Amino acid sequence: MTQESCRRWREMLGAYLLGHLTPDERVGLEAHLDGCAECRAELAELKPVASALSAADPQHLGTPPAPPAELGDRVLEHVRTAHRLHNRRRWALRIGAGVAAAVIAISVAVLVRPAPKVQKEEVAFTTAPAGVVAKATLYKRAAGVEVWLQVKGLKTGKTYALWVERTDGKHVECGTFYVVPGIEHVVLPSDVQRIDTVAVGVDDDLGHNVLRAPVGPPRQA
Amino acid sequence: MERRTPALDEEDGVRAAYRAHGAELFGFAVRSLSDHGLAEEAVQETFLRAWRAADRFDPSIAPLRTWLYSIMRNVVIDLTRARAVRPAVASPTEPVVDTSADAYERALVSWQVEEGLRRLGEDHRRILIETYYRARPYAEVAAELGIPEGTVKSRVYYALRALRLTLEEMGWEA
Repeated sequence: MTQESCRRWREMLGAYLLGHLTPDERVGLEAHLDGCAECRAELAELKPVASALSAADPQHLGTPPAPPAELGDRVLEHVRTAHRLHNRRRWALRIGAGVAAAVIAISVAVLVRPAPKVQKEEVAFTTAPAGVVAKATLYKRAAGVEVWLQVKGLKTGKTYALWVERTDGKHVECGTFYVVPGIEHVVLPSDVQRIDTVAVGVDDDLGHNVLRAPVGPPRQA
Repeated sequence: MERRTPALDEEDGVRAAYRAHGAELFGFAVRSLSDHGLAEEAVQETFLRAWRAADRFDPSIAPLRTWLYSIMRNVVIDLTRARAVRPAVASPTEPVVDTSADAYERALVSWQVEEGLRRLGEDHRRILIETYYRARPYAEVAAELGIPEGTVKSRVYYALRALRLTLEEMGWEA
């Protein structure tokens, strides 16, 4: 096949894929494709692009809506606020990152083996502002306690930090969560062992305590 | 140690990432949430999560843009679900929203193809709009553009090639 005639056929591939060729043209092109591996390869590469066209809505091809000018500043402010929290608890977050890795490993492990029986217990919050209803369940895991927090009444759009208090008085942050209307629970892992846990709690993004639930000594197994 | 761009765990890194991709992410958030306020929320939360997970970002696995989209995926799904479970009395006329991950993937593909088309040259975009989306006969389009019909045909081919390349640059995998 000469390059020149190949190009003539190849340039029809777009119209062919979109179903726009006349029957004669189609027969001619298909005959060419039968004998030309290069053009077949090109056809195969363009096929997904041609099919993807149907996903687009031509009404949406105009300039997309631009974000408000101050959104960039708000993004940075959001991060700065979280950063202040982060600095205060940098040491805790480092542990948290390790825990996150461990959790991923555990999640993978959970997928491949039957879940072992996990000891769990409910704890009640003795500190809670008016209008906030919260309940926590502690799961005793090998890597440390995992906290399932159910909470209503926190401020939408705000970021909060969940921590576990150890016997030495230190608050170990399990992670932060962001309040979205309608989502009332969050599960966060910690690397604090159940036996070392004396309380769990939640601070707001300025580090003020919002919720606290004392945790008694573990039951004897 | 050589450093090309400030890391995402620094304010400069977040600022640079927002400058590069913020507007596009916002556009997509509006497209999939149909709500400017929620879209702004989604963008803020996406960059916050990106900043938090900065140590897990590996440009050798996926470019920053792809990574941010994958974070926004979870944010948008969370926000859509949250909106779906809001009490019905709050907005009785609100349409039923599809909260599934599937719906999100569909919106993402639509957005990417639309974004790819926007990035094409005017000739290429126009030829696809006229022949494909408006389904106009090639002869009519040729007359309107003052080009031979054969050129319309070949332009459709080159437009698809250009779109393929554009989508590939955007991280699209067929």
